[in-house]
Amino acid sequence: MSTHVSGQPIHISKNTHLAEPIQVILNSSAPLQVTLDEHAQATLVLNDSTHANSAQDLHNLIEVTLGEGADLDFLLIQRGETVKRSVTSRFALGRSSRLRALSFIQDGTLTKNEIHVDFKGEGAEASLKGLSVLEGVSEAYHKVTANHAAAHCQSVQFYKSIVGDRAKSGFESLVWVHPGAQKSDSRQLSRNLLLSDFATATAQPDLKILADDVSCAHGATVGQLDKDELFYLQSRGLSKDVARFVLTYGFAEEILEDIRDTGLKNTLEALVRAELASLLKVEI
Amino acid sequence: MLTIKNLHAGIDGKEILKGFDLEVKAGQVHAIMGPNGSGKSTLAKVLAGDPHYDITAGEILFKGTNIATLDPEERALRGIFLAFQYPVEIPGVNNASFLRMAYNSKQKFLKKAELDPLEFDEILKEKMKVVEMKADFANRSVNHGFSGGEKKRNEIVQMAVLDPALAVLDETDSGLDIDALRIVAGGVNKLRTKDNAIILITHYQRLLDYIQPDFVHILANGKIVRSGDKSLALELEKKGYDLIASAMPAACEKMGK
Ligand SMILES: Nc1ncnc2c1ncn2[C@@H]1O[C@H](COP(=O)(O)OP(=O)(O)OP(=O)(O)O)[C@@H](O)[C@H]1O
Ligand SMILES: [Mg+2]
Repeated sequence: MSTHVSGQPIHISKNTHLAEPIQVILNSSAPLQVTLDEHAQATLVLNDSTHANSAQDLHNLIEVTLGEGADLDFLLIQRGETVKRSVTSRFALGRSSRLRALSFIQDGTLTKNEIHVDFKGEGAEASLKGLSVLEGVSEAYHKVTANHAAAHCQSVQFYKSIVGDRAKSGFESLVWVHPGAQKSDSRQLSRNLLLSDFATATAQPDLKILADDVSCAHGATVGQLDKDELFYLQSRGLSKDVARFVLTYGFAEEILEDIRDTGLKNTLEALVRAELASLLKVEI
Repeated sequence: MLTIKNLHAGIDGKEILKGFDLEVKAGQVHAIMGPNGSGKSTLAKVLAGDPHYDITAGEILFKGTNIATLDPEERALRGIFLAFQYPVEIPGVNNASFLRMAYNSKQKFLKKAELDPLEFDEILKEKMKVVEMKADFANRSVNHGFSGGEKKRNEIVQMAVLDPALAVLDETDSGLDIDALRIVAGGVNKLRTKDNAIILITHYQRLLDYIQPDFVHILANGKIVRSGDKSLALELEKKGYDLIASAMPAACEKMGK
């Protein structure tokens, strides 16, 4: 994996396909510009540095432009305990480009993750996923806006949170289909798992549709572990604690399973496993 | 192996099992048949320790210990296995890793070595062959998106992996196509030994052609109303529950006929 120095723009030129992910440590508040020219392809991993340097609040702006047919995997990781931090990522999607964004938040006094997607060319697709794993008194908020300004674009949002102790999770999403953006296809789904009676989660998926030939779906759930699923696992010899862990991890895994880079997927899965083991107080 | 005495159990304050008795010895297969709603699944879940159900009287002795208050996992580790009538889908949980965790829990309980994923894969491959389950099911989420029949087959894979002393199969035959029924029943037969026992809950005599029971019991209204050998299932097939019940005034009364 190549490491990028924060602050300098990233530019992937036409038809270039990067074999290795680019790693960015967000350690300054200077905006980061990312440009993928036509048919370029890349994987970008952004880590905010707060888990290493927890004294300082952080605010970052990331501006991403995808040219025609460009393809980007975008993984943003915000973790660490005591800081306030916010990252705003703005994406401009050209014709037939593909964006797969995943935001992972773990703990933090107050974390904001804002994603803003502008569909500028026809036939672009964005898959936007998020996972928050929160313990203690952490608070984390995902805010998503998908602006369907061009026709035949697709946005799929799938966000989950696992909230323990007295933590708080929020999901706020707006899909805006502009006049003329026919055949827009959007889905907004937020699922939240509460592991304690004092944990809270809110979800507000919203739609503003100004075109007539579109397909939009949205939904949100807030719940606890399913008793039938728990019993099923226990009936196979898993202790109640391990069964809770397995179900909770399974809940998270639905967000992680499609990460295309195997190395990144393994790293993130291990991170989530360790965090959940701590949250549920089991040894794995 | 299993002695159930005067078991009364129910759910949400409603009594479903009303004085159920059964004695199962190692090496035996007992079939339990009975009309819809008579309490067959309730019995199965109560044996496995489903916390939704309350036992209000009676005892369940398994290998000499009363297990009625044990947690489900305790019972599983001691050798009780329930193949669910409606297996539960668990999205995001990989079938193979789940089975390995279950297998290793048991190994640990028996103070035997736990297996790493590679070692376990070899075992799983063998166990999947017992019911001719395709290899790719190992890497899917537990029962997630499986067809009805595939779920039932997966239950028997789990039984093969866990090698229980007592297996309760709750309508494992329902939902299986004709070929699958033959294969799954054949798999169950391969798992039979003189040391284990099976309770087969079914509506259909056809399953009992494949897995020959030593005893057939008819459950009605929470009690066994008649027991016999496998010819009882044939009689039932011919006459139906109404006629069988009308031959037994006591049971008939209980069923409200
Ligand atoms: N939560 C509940 N509250 C009240 N009654 C219940 C509840 N759950 C189950 N029952 C009832 O208990 C009875 C026994 O159900 P059970 O599932 O044991 O029947 P079964 O013999 O397995 O039937 P089937 O052949 O249809 O599988 C049924 O009448 C059912 O409606
Ligand atoms: Mg039943």
